[in-house]
Amino acid sequence: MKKVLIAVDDTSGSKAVLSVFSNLVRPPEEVVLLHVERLEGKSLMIDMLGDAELSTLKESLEGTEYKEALDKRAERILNHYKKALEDGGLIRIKTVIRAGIPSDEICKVAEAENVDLIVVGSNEKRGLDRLVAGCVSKDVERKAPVPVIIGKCDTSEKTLEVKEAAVTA
Amino acid sequence: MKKILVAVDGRKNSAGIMELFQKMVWAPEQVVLVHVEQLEGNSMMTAMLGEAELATLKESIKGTEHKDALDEKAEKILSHYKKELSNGGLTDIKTVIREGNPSDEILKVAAEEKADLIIVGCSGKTRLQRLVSGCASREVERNAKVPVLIAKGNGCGEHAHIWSGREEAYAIR
Repeated sequence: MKKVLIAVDDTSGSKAVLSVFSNLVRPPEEVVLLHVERLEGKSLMIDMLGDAELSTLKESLEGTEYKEALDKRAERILNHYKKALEDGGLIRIKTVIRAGIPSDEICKVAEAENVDLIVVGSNEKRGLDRLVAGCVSKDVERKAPVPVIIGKCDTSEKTLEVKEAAVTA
Repeated sequence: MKKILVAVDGRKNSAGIMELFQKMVWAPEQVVLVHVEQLEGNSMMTAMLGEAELATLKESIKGTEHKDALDEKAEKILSHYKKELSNGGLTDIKTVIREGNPSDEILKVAAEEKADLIIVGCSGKTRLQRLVSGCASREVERNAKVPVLIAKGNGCGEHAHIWSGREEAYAIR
């Protein structure tokens, strides 16, 4: 396998990509490590923005402190994962920062870089949140042209146990 | 890695699955092939059935031609994959046939077998179909305790979503 795209953010769901990468995936020649900045912060409005509005938002944020903070955070996240991957013995890592809708950007970068596989973490959003804001991994899974691995971390385990208990009761 | 569960619903994507093992993921010690029979056929009502109704449905179609046909189809699909995988060098293969709600059954088998990874295909359903009947791969991804790999079959990308996958699977029946 030549190239793997690994998409990360600063949620704990992203940590799962490391264990997936080291335990399950055959080592590729190159890793593309991607972080997508969310210009709209934690608001849920991103799905309602068209391309035009999004580019206006991008422009108006250019050079602001807010954008600088986002950039700094992106650097920090990417460096953290880059180091973790390097500790695992991998050398060729390319880091990419994009801004916009995460699932779209992930798929665009996957296509531009011609990757063979996409690895994403799972999002802990549940229920209503997920319905309203959508879920990055779900969208990626649907749109991606190549196979996608969705990592799992321990936090999701509790939720399932609760659900199982409810069924048996 | 010890065990990978591969959920299969038609014969169309065995090449894609094999490619995953050869190129992308480490070959496991054991592969568990799971096929879930959809007792209700192509109808979309499965999501609306409770445990009790599903059990009644199971009882009432036992021994019917419909069930025999389902069993035969399941055997065919599983033996096809088993052959393909053993040709590719994977020798320890276990096959499991279940019936009922695909995502629930896949998750149950994954838990029983303690699989390290679940591989599911992309169904190629449209947005509306997904909204109405749900999508097994999505449900699995959402509730699984272990990583899930969504394999991509013919025309399962963004561009050819509408009439691929599912339709082909039905044509085999």
